[in-house]
Amino acid sequence: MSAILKTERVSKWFGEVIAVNDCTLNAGPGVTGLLGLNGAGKTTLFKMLAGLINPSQGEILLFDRKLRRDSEVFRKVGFCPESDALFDWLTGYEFLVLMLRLMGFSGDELEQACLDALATVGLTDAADKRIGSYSKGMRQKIKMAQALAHNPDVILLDEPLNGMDPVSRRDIVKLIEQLGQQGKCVIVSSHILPEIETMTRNIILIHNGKLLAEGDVTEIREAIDDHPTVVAISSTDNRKLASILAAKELVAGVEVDQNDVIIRTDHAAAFYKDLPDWLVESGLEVKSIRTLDDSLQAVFEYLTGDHYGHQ
Amino acid sequence: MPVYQRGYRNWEQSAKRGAPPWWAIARKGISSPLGSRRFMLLLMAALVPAVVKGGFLWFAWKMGDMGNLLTGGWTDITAVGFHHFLNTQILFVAIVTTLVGSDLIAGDKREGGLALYLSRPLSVRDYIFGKGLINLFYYFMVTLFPALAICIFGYLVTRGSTGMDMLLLIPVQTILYCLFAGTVLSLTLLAISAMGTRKVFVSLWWVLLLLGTEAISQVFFFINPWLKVISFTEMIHNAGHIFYGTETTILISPYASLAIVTAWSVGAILVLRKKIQPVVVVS
Repeated sequence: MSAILKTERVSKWFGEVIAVNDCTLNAGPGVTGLLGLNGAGKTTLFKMLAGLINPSQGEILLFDRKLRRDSEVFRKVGFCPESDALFDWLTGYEFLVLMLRLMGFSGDELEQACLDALATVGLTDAADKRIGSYSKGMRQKIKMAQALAHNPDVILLDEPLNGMDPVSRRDIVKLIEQLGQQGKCVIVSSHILPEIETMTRNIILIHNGKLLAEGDVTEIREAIDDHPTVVAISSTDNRKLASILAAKELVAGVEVDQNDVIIRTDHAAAFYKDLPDWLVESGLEVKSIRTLDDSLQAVFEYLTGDHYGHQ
Repeated sequence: MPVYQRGYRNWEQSAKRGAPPWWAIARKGISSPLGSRRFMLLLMAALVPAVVKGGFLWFAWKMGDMGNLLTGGWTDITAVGFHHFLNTQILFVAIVTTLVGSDLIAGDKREGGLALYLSRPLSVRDYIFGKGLINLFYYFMVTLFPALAICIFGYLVTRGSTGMDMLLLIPVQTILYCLFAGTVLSLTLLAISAMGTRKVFVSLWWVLLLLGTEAISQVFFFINPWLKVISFTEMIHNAGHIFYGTETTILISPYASLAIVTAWSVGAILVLRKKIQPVVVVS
């Protein structure tokens, strides 16, 4: 994967508080999700990526150019902040004009870029209304529009779906996917994991200022040694299967529900290696095997020590 | 194949480089107040003293010495007269700059707009310069532009008898003085605006600085004439004697006033450097 945005051992501290600690990551074309709980350092990292604050240590490189020292690289960046960073006294159109002029646009090209951006986020009809009269969802959209209007290569979206209605949410998710498919480097920050799952499987997890993992969600799962996993197996005789599996050392717990045997293991890799042999030995016909928690939420909870609801 | 493994396709920005980013900020800030009818009326009202001065000038020219007696100092078209005229505009300067400038940075801080600006190819210096130009433009609107208009009018009314003084020397002196005073006022107002997020707070402090310190110094002037030093506008006005080559009327030397005003400006720049941060860190 060719990295467009790189951080090299980046740290940021405020007084004695370390917000981001020795973080090295690469983001290439496509959508990357930046995930973390509140206070994880996600916002600080995101703002460093946007060039809004300088790292205390380390470097952030965009197209191999240092971000803060080279303000010209910001022409290639579109940033959608989390806060309501808008000018309520301007209309949506005037707001975009101002933002694009800062990027060096002028004349017909400026007007066309404004209209395109408004159409992209579905705000053409509200272009002449003051931003102060916009709903929360519309404000999110106009923020998206200013991030996209100058056709940037790198798009940084901080909590872009906050406050959006379901229809707008679907549209924006689709738009983000399209941007990723076009080859743009899109980094989406969110604390809602299912939200990210709808956009990408390529994630960066951050907790307590440390980078926990980076990559595809399944790759991350594979990278975790001895992680707890919940597996649902459906067979012709679930009770018999449960009794067989309960005797295995690798199985931490077994439950039987209406359709499946729910197995919990703390050693996923070894469990998956031995499972076929156990099933053959049992002589039972297996209908399905499903991993119940192969979601970002499960990975995140495990990585942050909050698996199964326990710290 | 996942999208992120497909390799990168570069998009070169097609936009031709337009005006510099600070001009985008200044242009928006200058044009926005002009959309208000009330504000336009205020600007027109600020021109009234210049019109009156022009009228008296014409009257005095027609009436000779009798006219001068009736119009007093209003017909003074020497350097002293222009310097004094600019000082009499201070009330309009206070009103116009308060309306235009008090929310320039405070508003951005309140609404989080700094993050939007500074995530673009725009440095903090560009940002301050663009905002400063807005203040400077409106300061010129109520001081420099009317003064220059009087210069041209005076030259025409006196049929050139004022010579190069009115056509060249006084305009150049006035431009230099207004640039100096406007820059000091603009930087100071921006610094106050950067210190708060509420327009009311900024407006109060600005008016107190411009008019309040002058009023206080007037009161205490009789106790100790040196207390003129606390008047912000008096110090700027006194430093103006250097530009106009005129004699000061207070005990403080114009060069001392220049040093004080320069110190004010340096302080304002330091405040701006400290206070303009794209992200507010809450500890």
